[in-house]
Amino acid sequence: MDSAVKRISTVLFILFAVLIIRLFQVSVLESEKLSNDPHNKREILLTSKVARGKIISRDGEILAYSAKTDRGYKRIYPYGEKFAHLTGYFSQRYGASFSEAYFNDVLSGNPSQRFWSPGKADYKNVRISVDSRLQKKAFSLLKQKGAIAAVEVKTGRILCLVSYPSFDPNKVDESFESWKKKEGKPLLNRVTSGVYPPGSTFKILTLATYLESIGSLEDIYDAPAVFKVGGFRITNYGGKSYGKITVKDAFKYSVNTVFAQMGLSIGPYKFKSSCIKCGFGGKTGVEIPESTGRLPAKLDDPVILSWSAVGQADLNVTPLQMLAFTAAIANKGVWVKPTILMDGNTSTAKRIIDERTAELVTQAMVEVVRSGTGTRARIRGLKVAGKTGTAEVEGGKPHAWFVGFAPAENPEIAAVVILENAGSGGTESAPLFKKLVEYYFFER
Amino acid sequence: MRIKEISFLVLTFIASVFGYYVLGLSNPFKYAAIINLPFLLLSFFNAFFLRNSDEHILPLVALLSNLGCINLYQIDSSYFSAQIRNIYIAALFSMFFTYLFSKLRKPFTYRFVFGVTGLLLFLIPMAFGKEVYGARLWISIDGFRFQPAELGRIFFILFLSGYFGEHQILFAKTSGLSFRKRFVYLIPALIMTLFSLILLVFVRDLGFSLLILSIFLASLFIASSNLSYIFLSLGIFGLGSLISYRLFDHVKNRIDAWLNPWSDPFGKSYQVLQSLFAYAEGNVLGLGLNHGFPELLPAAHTDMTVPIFAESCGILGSITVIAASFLISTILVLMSQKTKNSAEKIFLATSGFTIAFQVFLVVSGTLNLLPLTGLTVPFFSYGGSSLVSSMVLIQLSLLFSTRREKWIVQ
Repeated sequence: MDSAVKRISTVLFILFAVLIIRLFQVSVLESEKLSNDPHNKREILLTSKVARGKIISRDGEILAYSAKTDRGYKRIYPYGEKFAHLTGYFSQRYGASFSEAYFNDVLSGNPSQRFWSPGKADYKNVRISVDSRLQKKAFSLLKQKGAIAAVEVKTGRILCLVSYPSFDPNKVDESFESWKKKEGKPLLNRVTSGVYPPGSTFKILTLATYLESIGSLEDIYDAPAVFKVGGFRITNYGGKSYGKITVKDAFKYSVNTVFAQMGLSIGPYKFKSSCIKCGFGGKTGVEIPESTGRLPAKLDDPVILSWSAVGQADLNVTPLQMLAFTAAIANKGVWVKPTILMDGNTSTAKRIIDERTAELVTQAMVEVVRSGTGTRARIRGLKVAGKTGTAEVEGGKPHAWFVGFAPAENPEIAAVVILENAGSGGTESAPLFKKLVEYYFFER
Repeated sequence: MRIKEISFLVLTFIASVFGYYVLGLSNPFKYAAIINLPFLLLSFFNAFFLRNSDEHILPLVALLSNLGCINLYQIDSSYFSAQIRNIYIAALFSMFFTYLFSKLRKPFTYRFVFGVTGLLLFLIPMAFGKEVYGARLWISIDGFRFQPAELGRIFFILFLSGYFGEHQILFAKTSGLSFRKRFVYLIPALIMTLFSLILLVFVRDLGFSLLILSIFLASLFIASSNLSYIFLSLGIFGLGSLISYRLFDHVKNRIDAWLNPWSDPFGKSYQVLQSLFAYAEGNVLGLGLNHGFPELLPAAHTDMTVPIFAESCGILGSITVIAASFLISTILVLMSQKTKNSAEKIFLATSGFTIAFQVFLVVSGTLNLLPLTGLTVPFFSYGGSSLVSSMVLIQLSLLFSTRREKWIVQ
């Protein structure tokens, strides 16, 4: 009988050993794999149990903070829709977006490495480059589908970024599914991820490339109402003919037939390399998700090349790419990566156009606003440089663009406005640009 | 006064105070004192009535109960207060029961009385029972729910110990009897066991029937030292499982979830997967008390207490619970070796084995080593009936270990 009892204790030992080995396997060896399993909701729930850092604007406004509730913390966005495409949302169910996603590690501290005093993770606040007053102004200006954004010319810091329609990140848990289905796609950040044909705003690039390697602002071109290439017709806005005209005036009045010819004289290789150098068809490197846009595939086809030189054809750009390029012209030809970071900025800068060319393009852009297509962007007491764009789209009114910067002599701010299917850039978008820049310099 | 026991109890008390402090209770001393008072009373009782009995078991029981209460508090504070009440009931009832037994000079002469009592207790819920979690295990008296089978288990062990103790010489290989003759003597115990099993299967208590079977096998093995019974019974068990897999959906579901935990992650295998996640999330040190996710685990307060504790206190926490349980078992088995009386020896070793085996079944269920059985961890999980029966088992074992005179049923 005692031998049986001894065997029982051996069995006990074996059972114990089996448990401990399996326990070690699950709790330690497979811990990471199981913790990251998609069926495991704990990681997301965990983040709601700890406070999260604040998101603060450059001028000190709190854009997002964690409020204590009886079961953890809730994320509050005091300005709701106004900063949504900068702050993004933070949800247990749907994860995080924009700043909430990019700064997640900093904002959340490191909640998985906590032992006896959880809830006191070493989270930090984040300051982003947005100017809260300018952002609110931009939000109040934008009343239809489209986007407005502005950057500091020298640093690339984003001063405001608005996309319409917007969403209220306070309501993400209830409304996310309906936002996804909603017409107008409120979750889409039109500044970084909206892709549009640039229309005539792209003539800035054609002009810069032309001046850098082909000719001068005083070169004279025929400007008929219709220019035929390979059996296709390129026409001027409104079907107007300008006779003989200088490049400078062709830019000022946005004459398509002249720019088509300029594009042909630049040639496909130079044109394409210039596009790439100026940041089109690639990511700008901003901290939130963005699209690359698209360069036309067959630029060596003269039809496509001449259409691209006036900003149509298969060409697609994001408003942020357009803005960064405009800011580079303002910055004497040096392109600076757009950024939402305020502190510890490591923005990359590169020369894309020589200084002399950038000055010439600036001159031409000043003319556009002074007496060309962009007169509605004129501001008393401030020299504004800009370019309008009216991008034809199939089955609808054209998209209305305006890009520009001010003051032209020593630029501080560059901005972009795009209104989807709104009509002419000069009449629709230029006034919004004007109000925004005016506010920035005189009312803020 | 049992100095050693009381000093261990003081250590447990200190650990308990620390636990309630971490949980953020306003008065950790008060709660720790309320929970540990019954164990102090038990210690006094044992000093008086069970002189010279082991002094390590009670502190281990107290440790498990304290950790269990801390764990229940983070799961749901209403279970916490109910469990404190249960501890008082269990302590008082076990003292009363042990006192009665200590007055019986030859308790195992009543082995058939025990057997019938056990059967009746198994039978009661069938007649008056109430269904909870798809199994009919409970009876309710004035709103106070009670699981009679838990107490039935004690009587079942008492019966088997008495019966096998009486015939142990005949079962042994050395008895010289043929296997057939030896088997004949088994028949009463077999009938009793099969009857209990059928009853338990009928009320759909999968875990408990496994436990009864293991009690039968362990006591038979201790009495006979003969492995052939074990293999025979395991064969019968295998056949039984196959039949119940075919017959009962709830058995089939649990076995399916065990074999393919990833096939139905939000249905059948939700519970076991969440349990694995809890262990994994706890890792070595745990997320901290009150910072786990018991709300994700169904039956958190009974079947899933160990993974929840592991989630908040890590593998260190789960090993503590398992090690304390196995230590109690080992001490009981060691105590049985010192006892001369066969019935008492069988009772001690069987009780020891069942406690560890029960923990093994529960924990390996939560680790997906075996299908989930729906059993509780003695002293650690929530449950009045389980606490009462486990406490009685411990106190009776202590009582039997203190008897020194040789006693054989004639």
